[in-house]
Amino acid sequence: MINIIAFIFASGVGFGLSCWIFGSLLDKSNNMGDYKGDKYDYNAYVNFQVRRDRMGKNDYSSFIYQYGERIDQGKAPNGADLVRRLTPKELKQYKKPAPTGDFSSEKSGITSKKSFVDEFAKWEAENSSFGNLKGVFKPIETEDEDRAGF
Amino acid sequence: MATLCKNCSHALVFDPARQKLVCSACGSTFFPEEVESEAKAYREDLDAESVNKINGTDDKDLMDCYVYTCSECGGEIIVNGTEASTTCVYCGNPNVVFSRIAKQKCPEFVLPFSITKEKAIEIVRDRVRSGMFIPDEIKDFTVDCCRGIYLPYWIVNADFHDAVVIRGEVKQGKSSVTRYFGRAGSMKLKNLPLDASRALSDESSAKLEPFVLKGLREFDEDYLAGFYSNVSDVTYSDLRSAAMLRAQEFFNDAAINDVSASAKKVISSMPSLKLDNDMVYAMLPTWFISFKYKGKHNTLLVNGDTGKVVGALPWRKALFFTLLIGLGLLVTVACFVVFKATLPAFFSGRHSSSNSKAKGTIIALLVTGIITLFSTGIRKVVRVIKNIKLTQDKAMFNFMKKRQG
Repeated sequence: MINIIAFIFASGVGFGLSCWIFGSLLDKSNNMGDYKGDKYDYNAYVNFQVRRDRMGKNDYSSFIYQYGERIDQGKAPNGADLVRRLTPKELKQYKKPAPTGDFSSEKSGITSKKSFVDEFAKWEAENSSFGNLKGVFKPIETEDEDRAGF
Repeated sequence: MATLCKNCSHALVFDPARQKLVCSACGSTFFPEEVESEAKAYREDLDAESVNKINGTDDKDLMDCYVYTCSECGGEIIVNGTEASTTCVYCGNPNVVFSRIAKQKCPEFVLPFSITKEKAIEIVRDRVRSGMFIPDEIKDFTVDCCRGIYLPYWIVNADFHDAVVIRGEVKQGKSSVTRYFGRAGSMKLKNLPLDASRALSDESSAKLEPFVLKGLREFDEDYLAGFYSNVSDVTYSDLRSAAMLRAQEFFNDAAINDVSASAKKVISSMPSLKLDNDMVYAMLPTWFISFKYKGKHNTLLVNGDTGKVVGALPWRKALFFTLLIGLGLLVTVACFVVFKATLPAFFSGRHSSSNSKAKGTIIALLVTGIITLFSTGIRKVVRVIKNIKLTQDKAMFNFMKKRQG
């Protein structure tokens, strides 16, 4: 009996250790660059406003609903639109809500927010077989604005 | 479409080693910002014809393909809907394609290649040669295709808030109990680069990080000369999802580190993220190097600025399992001798309650240790296999290969 128990433990330690050693060696040998940018690269420092260490199993859903905030998305572009550079005018409009707080395209002056999909459809509709692309895209306004942020 | 040399009218190509445009015919060099090219104005007025229209077909595979004419030799240049620069298949001259990079679609910044094609291949070779489990055929691989591609990225700032519940084990006396921890907080992400190309998986592109964004230069299409490039084709929804995933990784990591317990896991959360609409559109450099092994294409990525190699390679399974079993047997025999000698004394000691508890603790530690060793080792092997699949992914190979030139 002792022999069986000794064998079970010995094989567990032996093959477990071997598995760990060669798993690590394989990872080091064949897996290259398997990491992403570090949080410090992107200034991703978390500021914890609430810490609760003694919670019952039934308390956690109430914690989530009590402290989980929905950040105001502001006047963000539609999710289905292709991402593009916004003009300074559009940026101002997205950042500042209308005085009533009720943002709408009519009030803001944006009558048709164009995406590349829209523009491409327009291009297809308007251009003949040669497909002149000139003027399809809205020109960027020339207001100086430091947009780089670097 | 090509920017021509002022001295001999030959097409200029950007040289990463010199960070200048170089004329291969007369050897003249120019800084991209200095070149006032008629081609830049001409590109905005280029005409494109859809391949389906030319062929008189309605083939769905060709819906997104367009034909341009090479300004050098008049040959046909076929590009898909997102390519912005390519090479003429007939004359080999670099061609920057039309108004895709004009006006609204124009990137604001470009991080020029600082690693040459030869250097990128050399970096990969050096890395591959040092791999213990990499097959010899791969160590002497023949490059099937090597392409420098500027990938589109949106560099974003974002506000993130989350409330998470973490489950963990805490010691209470001599046993451990499950506890629940709540953490709520916020963070601001700054200059997070997010891949703006749908054709390339986010997992691969995220591993190319970090990019040294201090090296960004104001965009000039002459930096694209001699390289391939794509324009952004992601939606705001795609971008928010990608930013949310990255932000959650950072937040969960910080929250888990903030909790004193073992076996910690986030079991519930309510994340919320807001992207700053004033995003920066930049093109970042990547070398795609592919080779064939056992009939499969393997595509390794090299960050064109830092030289970081990304990818996983097939392994010598016979060698791996021989060594694993060999070492396993050796350690098993050694441990068996030790256990056989110590276990009788261990089990035949006095049967007091404190003694039994101590024995129980030792056995529990031993079992936990064995499970940890197995799970850690297996997890690493699984990670390698998963990344090999990504390296052999057909979509990534096609993203690189299906271009002219």
